[in-house]
Amino acid sequence: MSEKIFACLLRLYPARFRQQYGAEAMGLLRDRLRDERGIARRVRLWFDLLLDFATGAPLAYRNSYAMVSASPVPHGAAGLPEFRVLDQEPLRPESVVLGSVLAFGALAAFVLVMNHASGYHPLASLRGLAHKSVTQSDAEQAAEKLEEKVRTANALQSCGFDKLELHPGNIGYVKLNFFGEPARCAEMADAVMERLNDTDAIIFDLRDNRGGFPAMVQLMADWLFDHPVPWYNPRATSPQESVTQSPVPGSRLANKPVFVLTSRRTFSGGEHFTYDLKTLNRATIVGETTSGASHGSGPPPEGTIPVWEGSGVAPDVRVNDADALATAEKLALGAIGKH
Amino acid sequence: MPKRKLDPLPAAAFQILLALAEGDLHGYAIMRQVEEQTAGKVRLGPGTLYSSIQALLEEGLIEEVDPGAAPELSDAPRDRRRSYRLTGAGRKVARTEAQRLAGILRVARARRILKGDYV
Repeated sequence: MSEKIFACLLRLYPARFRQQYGAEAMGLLRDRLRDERGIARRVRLWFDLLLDFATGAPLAYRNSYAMVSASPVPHGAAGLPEFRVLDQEPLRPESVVLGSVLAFGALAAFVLVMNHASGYHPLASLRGLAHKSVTQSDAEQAAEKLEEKVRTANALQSCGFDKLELHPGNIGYVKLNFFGEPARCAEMADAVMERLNDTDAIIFDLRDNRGGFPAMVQLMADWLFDHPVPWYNPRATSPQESVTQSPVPGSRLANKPVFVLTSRRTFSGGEHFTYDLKTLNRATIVGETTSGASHGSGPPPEGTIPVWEGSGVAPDVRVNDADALATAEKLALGAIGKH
Repeated sequence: MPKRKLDPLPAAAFQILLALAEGDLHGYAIMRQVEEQTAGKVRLGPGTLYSSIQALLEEGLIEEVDPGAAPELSDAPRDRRRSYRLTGAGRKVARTEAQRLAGILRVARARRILKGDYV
């Protein structure tokens, strides 16, 4: 037993030290074990060995062992264990393969954990929803396609979609921090809106929205109507009224209750979306009066009609921005009859 | 090569040199000899012992006794252990170290650090 422990201890010495003196050191230990019997002497022996390790190992590492190769190395002398040293052999191909497989496995496990660890992962929650609704194979394919479209949270966030979650009571929750460029983000926005088809109510969280592209504001609103409705654009230079491109093929959102969360930080495009949905009676606005900047920070251009410039858009239900989500969820549950 | 690792001479290395001054010894015998000459105060463990031996070998202060040419060893039958011998250089280093310590000892006596006359 003592010898085994000591053999382990020896492994911590430099390889060339073990090669040169391993057998002798074991021999010395055997001699001491033979000569020193009794509990007190054994305890003292182990105390010695540990102390010796603390002082001897650094010494052993300081030696160069330059002359070692010149002198013969006793291998397996008198039946002593041989100290063959692995780290002096070249790496075998099997070891490299095994190492790669293990590393890859660890990486795969890490990715898996990162994807499924948090309950409110932006996409995981709604992904489950998509599977639930699938009944036909082509619908399944559509869901697969959709899945690809909305694959990464990064892509979502690059288009302003900070969160996409399914909240209790089958309420779709979208936190949108800006309205992205349609050329780049239209597909993403459509995918998000399509996901919301299977929810019972929708909450757009614009409390941290800092504006963006008016065309994207309208693109998202298009999904919320089953027929074209007048759509006011504060930046349009002509008085000619535009209308929404409704209905959007595949949209089932027209009859779902919509709630928009606002704060005094909600800005520009965020206010645009809020104002239009409010005046069209399409959404319930919950939160605080918006910042009142229809054209960003500058003055409105010539010929445009500033509606909420300076005053901001007032909410329908006035609560602190911190309480807006909870309030809207309560209202949404009431609206869909799930008290 | 000038001595680097052994300058100043570590206590363990000095003890090994002293132990070998009386004759060639193998590792375990060195350890016992050191234990004896320090009245049981210093017991060199294998790590310290063989590291010091290696350092002394590298500095040329001791040398390995040609195996088979050590018939005077007492427990010869199972002995394929290596024995070591003090070299001329080793003897000189041991003497220098002893003189250095003697110098210190003189000072200690003069300052009455050492009470009594037992040293």
